[in-house]
Amino acid sequence: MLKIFGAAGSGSVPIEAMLTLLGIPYEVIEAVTWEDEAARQRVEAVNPLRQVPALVLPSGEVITESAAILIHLADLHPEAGLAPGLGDPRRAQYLRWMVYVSAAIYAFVWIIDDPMRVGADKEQALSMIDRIHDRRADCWRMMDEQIAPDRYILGDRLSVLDLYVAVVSRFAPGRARFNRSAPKMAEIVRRIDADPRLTEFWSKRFPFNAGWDQ
Amino acid sequence: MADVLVRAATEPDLPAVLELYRHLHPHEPPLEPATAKPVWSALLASGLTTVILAQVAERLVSSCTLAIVPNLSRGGRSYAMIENVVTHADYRRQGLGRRVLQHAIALAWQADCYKVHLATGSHRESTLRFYESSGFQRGGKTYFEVRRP
Repeated sequence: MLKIFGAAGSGSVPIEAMLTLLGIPYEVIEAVTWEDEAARQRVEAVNPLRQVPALVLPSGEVITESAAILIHLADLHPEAGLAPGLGDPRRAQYLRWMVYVSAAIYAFVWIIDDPMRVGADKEQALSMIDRIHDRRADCWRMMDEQIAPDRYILGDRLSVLDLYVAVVSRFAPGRARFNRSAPKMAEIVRRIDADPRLTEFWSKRFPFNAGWDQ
Repeated sequence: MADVLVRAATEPDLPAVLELYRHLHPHEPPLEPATAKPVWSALLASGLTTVILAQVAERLVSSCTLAIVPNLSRGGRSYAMIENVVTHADYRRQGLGRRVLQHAIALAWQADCYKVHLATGSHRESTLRFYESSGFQRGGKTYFEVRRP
């Protein structure tokens, strides 16, 4: 069975959502690495970066990096149709935006979790985080301006890119700002939030508690 | 043709699955929702069965049911069975049935099954060839059944 080192409300959630949608069994080894040294040590056994998510395949091989995991799993199940295949004209833009969400937006989490990692003193830390939030919002805006979505980002079919954006857009500075920055994708992620196929999953792994979108 | 998504069924899919099953046994009366609901819940919660669906836009158009059976022979590797293969009459010959079968087989291999088997009541050569082209071998074993009197 697939094993995922992950945590509720983290970058493992789009991977778990995808596997849930496809009916593929998996086990989550919960590791809230941004709060807990013991969790970081648990993850270190499979990922020297001490971060989630990390996926352990039945063979024991480890894959880290949320975008890579999503792309790999979608490619392993072409019959499911959760990503454009190699011959699909949407493939290039799909790969572009998967990597963009990971590299231009999600990756800032390492600094946001602890600004001292890049040398900010305590006074600078708050303004640095504000600037990172501005940058993230701006990256969402630029992505939104360059896509031509249908019901979903790549067309009329749900893809792992939609699941990825639906989760990462809930990270700071939060969905309310995302909605203002990226109005086209805002409509799509609202559809995914409300998808009845994932209702139970969201309630367990990334619940919409009061004030969640602020 | 619009894009196809193949996925596992969830609780809210029941009405659409019942509608799709009209194309499985057209002469059978559809199951009453009150009868179907506990069966559906048991099917989804069994831990051994997965109902696989193909949808085009938001419409369910093809399905099969996969059962993975724990097994004490063959080194303890499970085997899988596929039942209730159906495609909406308006969506046949578009590769949708093949997609749900491919996903069922993928799930079976993921669960380390050593084989997947499937029986059909159809004698139509085109149907039998469809299963062969989906990877199943005809005549591997002799199939028997007994029906409740």
